Amino acid sequence: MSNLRRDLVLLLGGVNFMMLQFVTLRSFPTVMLELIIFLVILTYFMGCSAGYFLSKHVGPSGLRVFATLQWFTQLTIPFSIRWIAGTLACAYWNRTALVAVLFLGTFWTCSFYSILLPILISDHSVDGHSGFVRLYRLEMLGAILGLILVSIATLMDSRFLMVMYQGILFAIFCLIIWKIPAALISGAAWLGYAFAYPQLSQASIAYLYMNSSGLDIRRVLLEKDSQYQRIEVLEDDHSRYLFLDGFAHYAPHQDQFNYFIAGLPAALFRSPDVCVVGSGSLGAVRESLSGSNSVTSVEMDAAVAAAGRKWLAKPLSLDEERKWTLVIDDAKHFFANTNRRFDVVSLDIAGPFQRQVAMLYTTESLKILSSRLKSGGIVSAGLFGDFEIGSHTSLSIAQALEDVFNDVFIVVVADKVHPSIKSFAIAGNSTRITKSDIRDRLRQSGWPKAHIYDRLDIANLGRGRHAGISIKHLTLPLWFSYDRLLDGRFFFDIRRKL
Amino acid sequence: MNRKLYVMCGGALFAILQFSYYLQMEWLMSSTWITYSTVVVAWLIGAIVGLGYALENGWFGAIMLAVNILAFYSMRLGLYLRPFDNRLLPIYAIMIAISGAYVGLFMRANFKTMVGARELLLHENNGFILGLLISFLGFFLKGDIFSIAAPGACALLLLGFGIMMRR
Repeated sequence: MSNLRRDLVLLLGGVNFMMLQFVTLRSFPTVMLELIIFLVILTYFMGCSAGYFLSKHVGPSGLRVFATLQWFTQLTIPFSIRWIAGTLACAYWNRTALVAVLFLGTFWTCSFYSILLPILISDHSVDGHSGFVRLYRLEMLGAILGLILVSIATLMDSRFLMVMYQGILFAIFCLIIWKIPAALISGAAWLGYAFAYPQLSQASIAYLYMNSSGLDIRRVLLEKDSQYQRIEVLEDDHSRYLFLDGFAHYAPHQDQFNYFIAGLPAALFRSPDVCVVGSGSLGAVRESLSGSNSVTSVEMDAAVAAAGRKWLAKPLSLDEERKWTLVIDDAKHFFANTNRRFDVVSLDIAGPFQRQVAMLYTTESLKILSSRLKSGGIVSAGLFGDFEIGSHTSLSIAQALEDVFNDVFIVVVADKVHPSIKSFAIAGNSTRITKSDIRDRLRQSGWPKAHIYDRLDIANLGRGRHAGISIKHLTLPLWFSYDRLLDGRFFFDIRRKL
Repeated sequence: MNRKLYVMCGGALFAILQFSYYLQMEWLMSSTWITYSTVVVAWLIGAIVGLGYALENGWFGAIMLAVNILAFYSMRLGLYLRPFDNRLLPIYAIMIAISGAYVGLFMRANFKTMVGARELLLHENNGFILGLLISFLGFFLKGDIFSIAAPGACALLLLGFGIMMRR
């Protein structure tokens, strides 16, 4: 292989090596539980070791065969892993499906890029020491380019990223094989991939959700790999759904959650300044807008806010638009740097099931947040479980709030649509709010049977002290994902009857 | 065998250090894409630069290891004193690049002593996997304390290993 070809293979290999890390995490067809994220990363590096190990036994002709096999299988990604996962999940072979998609989507694909450097260095024309330094540097330079390309690709839709990845794979394949027929065939296949991507992707997403969640998806309105997560807006005959990394963030009857997280707390004040953390469908914003002086949404992922506005939210009136501000920032960073003070801060975010989100529920973050409340201001949060029966998640969040705030109220209600119990918390320092204020508001809103607990009632439940979420004690995402992994509940976040 | 273990230990240190850098930045700066890409790009640029310098395993190696760890703790101190301050991001990028440079120095120095690139990359990567596993479990079970203490502890282990091999 000529020097130029070798250099190009390693440079492009470095680009795709870095892009693959992003691609595997975004195209992984499960709910991205913390343990699954870790398994994907671990498998990625295990694939890397496998490639280094194999390089000992693969010569130049073996590399051509290996490259052909890799090109052929990688050309089916991400569709094939969705079909495999959907088919096996339908047969309740969830763990087998997980292993299969980890192998094909991560281990096998990664091994291709790690095999290149040691094989190409072992070429006789490469001077040992300086050759290693030069080629290793080239690969790392490629990785930096890869990150730049990923940053650009996240501004586009998923197709752009995958077509770019496949294009670079095609170039590496051609440089290794170095035969015109192979270049023509793989070039045609790449073009075919680029044209067929929307249809294949939508069909495979619908197939996966049908088989794993029982959702009969009619249209995939949006699939996007943002810098932070996989965003999917789907539609069936009844409703639209927003999935972020596989977690359901907007589904039918979300209004109840939005009322308790934003509408009720805002209604306890006269013309409050409200801050809603997270955007999603903007349902929580809408709930708090009517009686408020101003509403500020803090959302880290601009793509989620855009998706929510385009596909899920009802249009805001001119007056509502005037009162609403969207800030794109990490909530911790925003609260630590803003000079503004709020009457109500609503945490309209997922439960503490991923590390980054869990950090917002820590006592340390809640302390920063409490420092941005006006005198008598409150924070509201979902507890993600039945507080009365003592679900681990609800007790952990409630304890973190108790550690930071003097006044804590827990509202427990029976879901009006699904047979389940939901719990929410309202907390603040020196609030003038009482249990009866909350009860009155709930009665007026058609929730007369809600149970309300204040600090004393919580103590009387006699559960003793439960460890609150803290940066020194962040085990919740780990145990939550461990339980779901053991139960095999990682291909769906909501489920209809199959 | 000792040499392989030494390289593995180096790989474990790099994983723990990278993980800790990112977690500290995520926790006390922000979880945004700019934080993630700063850590990755600064680390890679540092490694590219570090590969350019020959480092014999000896006192100079120990000093460079100490500089690497000092860079991490300087960043942690900066984050502690001025949390969530974006203006310090370029300085943190330099700290991360210094740690990345040690990776380059380490790989180049050990390329000479290993059978070939395959062995070096394989054992370094196996160590990296071990380091990832330790970092993940350490952070979730022991929290922030782990990501502060582990890089220093692992660097000491690597230093001890290096001294043992020279005897």
